[in-house]
Amino acid sequence: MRAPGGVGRRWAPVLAVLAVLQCFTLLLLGLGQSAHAGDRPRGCGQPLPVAGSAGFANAQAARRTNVNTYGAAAIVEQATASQAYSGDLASRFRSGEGHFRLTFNDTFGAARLLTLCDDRDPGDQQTVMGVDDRDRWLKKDRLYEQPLDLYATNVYVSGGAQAIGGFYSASVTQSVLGYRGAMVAGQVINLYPAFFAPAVGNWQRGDGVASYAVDWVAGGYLDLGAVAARVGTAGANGLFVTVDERAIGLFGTLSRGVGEAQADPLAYLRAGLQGFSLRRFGAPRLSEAIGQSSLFFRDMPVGVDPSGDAELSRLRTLHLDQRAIAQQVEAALSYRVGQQSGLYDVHLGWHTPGFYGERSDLKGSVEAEDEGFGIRVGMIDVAPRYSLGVQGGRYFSARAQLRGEAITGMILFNDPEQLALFPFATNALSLRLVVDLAAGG
Amino acid sequence: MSRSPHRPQRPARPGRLSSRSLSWLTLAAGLGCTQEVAPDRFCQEAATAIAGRTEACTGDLDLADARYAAFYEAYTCVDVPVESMGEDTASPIAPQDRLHCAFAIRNLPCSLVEAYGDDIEQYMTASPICDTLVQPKGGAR
Repeated sequence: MRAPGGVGRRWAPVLAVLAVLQCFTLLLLGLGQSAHAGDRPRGCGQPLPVAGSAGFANAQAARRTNVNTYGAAAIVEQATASQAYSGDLASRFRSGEGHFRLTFNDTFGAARLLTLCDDRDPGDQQTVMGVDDRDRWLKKDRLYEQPLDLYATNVYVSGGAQAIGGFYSASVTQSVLGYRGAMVAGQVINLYPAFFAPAVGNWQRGDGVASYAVDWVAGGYLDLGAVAARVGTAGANGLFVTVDERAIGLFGTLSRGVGEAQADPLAYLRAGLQGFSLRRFGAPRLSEAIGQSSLFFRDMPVGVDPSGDAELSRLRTLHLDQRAIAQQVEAALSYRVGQQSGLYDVHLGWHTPGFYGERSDLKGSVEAEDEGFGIRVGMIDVAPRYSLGVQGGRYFSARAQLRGEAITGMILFNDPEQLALFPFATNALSLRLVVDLAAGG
Repeated sequence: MSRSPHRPQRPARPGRLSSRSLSWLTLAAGLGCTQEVAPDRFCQEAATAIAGRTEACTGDLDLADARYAAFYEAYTCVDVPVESMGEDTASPIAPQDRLHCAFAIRNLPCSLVEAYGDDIEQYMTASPICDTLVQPKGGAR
């Protein structure tokens, strides 16, 4: 039996990380304001986006992509595909304890919009406030460029016997112009609609650039050791299915509409080989030398034309990922298929030994991986896409990941995954926080 | 009375990062903050809108890029104010209204995009504002 206060102790690091994130946000916010203390405004208390620009169109696409990418189905896949957790959690999940995962994902500057902005310092209201808001803006209209931020809050709960059980995943995604100081607090508050998403419903608001969306998936799993499957109903997309085979590492995930929503353009497919290791075929030494291989194809929508009379853009990519080479090195590249096909990114990385878990047999669905640190740097080739206002070019790209027993933090800069989803988001920064807890107490 | 948006630059204090350095630091952090708008931005937005609408209606990225290039072969961008000058302004057009050109192009029905084809001049009839943003190359309007 767990000692009283155990739950509090387990949540203490989570709260500490949230507090640090809030301080980090406020620090960057302060830097940003200081940077413009000269001939630019200290802040835009209420930036008003103006329709018509490429940034406005990009922002509309970005909010739909955000909903789809960080929606409930995607989180189920992330939580179940890796099947690797740090030591204690792995053994507890293996013994049948429930799994609780909390994920925050924030992307700053995913799109840049032309906005009307007050030229005066915050607090300097003088005569115009309270008289006529419309008149206030008309008097001081001047256009600036402002970044749009994307937030996602996700919860995932899974429980039952080892062979059969159920899961629930929900997401709250937002696109926000300004209000960075309230980022962490806002995401914590978003946990409430995430937990009660079926009651809230699959809900979306936002015809402009700001948006708020709730999505959820609930279903069951069957885990036979060698093969596991999860089937659920997705609030946004209809049916959700993911199957993974564990001898070789074959897997497939499909999310698409059913019935009237069958033609839903948000259908998502990801399939291939993941975490292939020669260790399972009796060659552990060779496996340690060459590591684990992943090769998979992904097909997903990117944005939606606001007018609704245009074709939907889809992103189709082929990924090759080799990790844990000599237990410490990783390499990755991806290739864009279809229009503008070509090499998309090349990355090299280093990580502490044991950073990636590896399954040695077919028993059990989870493997242990160690706490540690990993970093990968590389180059990403962004093709010109004038329709999005993207001039193209080669960009430095980096990703750093720090994993504790229950908490994983990640910083991504010009990350290929992010730029594939948001091709206009060059020099955007993303923060990701994942908390895994055994739900058995 | 409104303040001028162009305030004098504060000199950097010794031992402190200058405003410019902080701008780069902020950019490097990927945060991105409020930035100025270039005076030829509205013209660029019109070119981007033609490419964007072409891609949306035809799904052809190469054709979209070709029409973007054709725009700059046909027109030179004109600098326009990004702020209103008050009641005594020389320009009666508010800066946000300059975006109406791009807005109108982005909302053209696909049937018109198909009809206009590669004729860039036709796209520029989508809004009367468009004429204020460009100068045709090789001759008067």
